[in-house]
Amino acid sequence: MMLIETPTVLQPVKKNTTYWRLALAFFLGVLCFLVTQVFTRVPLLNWLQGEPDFIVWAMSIPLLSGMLIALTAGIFEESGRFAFKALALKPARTQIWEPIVFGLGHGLCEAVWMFSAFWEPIDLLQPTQLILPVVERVLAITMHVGFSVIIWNGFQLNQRVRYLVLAILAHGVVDALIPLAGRFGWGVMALEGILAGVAGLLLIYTIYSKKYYRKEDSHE
Amino acid sequence: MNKVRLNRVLFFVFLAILSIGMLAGCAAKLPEGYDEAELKSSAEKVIDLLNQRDGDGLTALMTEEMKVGLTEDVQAQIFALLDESGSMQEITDMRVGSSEENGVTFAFVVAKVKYENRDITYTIGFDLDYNLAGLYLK
Repeated sequence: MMLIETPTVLQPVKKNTTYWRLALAFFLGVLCFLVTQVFTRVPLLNWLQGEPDFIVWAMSIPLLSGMLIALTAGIFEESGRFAFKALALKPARTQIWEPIVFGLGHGLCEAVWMFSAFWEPIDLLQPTQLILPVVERVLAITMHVGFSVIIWNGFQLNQRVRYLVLAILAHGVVDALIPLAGRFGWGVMALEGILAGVAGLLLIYTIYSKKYYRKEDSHE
Repeated sequence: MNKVRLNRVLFFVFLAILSIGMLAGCAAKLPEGYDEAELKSSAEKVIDLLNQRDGDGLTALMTEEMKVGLTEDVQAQIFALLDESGSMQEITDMRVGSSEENGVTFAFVVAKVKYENRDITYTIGFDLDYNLAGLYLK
């Protein structure tokens, strides 16, 4: 009798816990973007852009400075992801949905933040003119999911620092495509095509990484 | 062994990128034909003309390309920003540098200026004859 009743009692609790962890992972992804970009890196860059020494350095080596500034996005965001995972999302070994939901929270928050800056001009645009920015954001969200999976893989495989450095470099390389496109005169479509390729590779990497994760939730 | 080697490689890639950036910035010099003192005095003249809202004086200093971009309408927007900023107090910092765009090397001055209500950082580009070739305000 007890053996039959136990699963029916525990099932809703398990589901509730999973939903709660899903919501927490999404919220922490949102918070991670706000902390590492909106409240720290963006104000820091704004301040630096008013400092003569920084401007002289950036203008003297525009391509390299652009690439290094791109790398700082990787340093801030990936270190943030790493810290949130290490401190707020335990246990270290988890299921694949956790980095995916975290990355979705991170990427969607970035999308809302970027579109909010252009809210009034958006009203003036034709629907067809919105296709490219929306596609670009979908690609960015896919990449945020991929970067989260890289960080989480470090925890799954107990090689945290190595995967952190890999995520920083991967993120830095993706962001460095923007100054490279400016320098070498790549068109918008060419740049978006490359970004789509990278997003596709990160999506394959996410699917491939499933094998490193637990199949079912356990209550450690 | 492989793990240690990969970590070392990643660390050195990281360090190399940062070092190249820093050293390249330190190595920047003015292009031949430019004089630092003359660049700074030319920049002060541009800032002075802007503070006096002297559009004609400013236009007289511009290169032909600049005249196309920095029209009277654009000048009016800059003057409106300066109206909001209040009167100029002092130039707190001034640096010179050089850059290259479309194969043309040019020199520029970055000046941080304190106004009554805010700080404005001017980035002012000059051609070899010290004509105004670029202007950016933050």
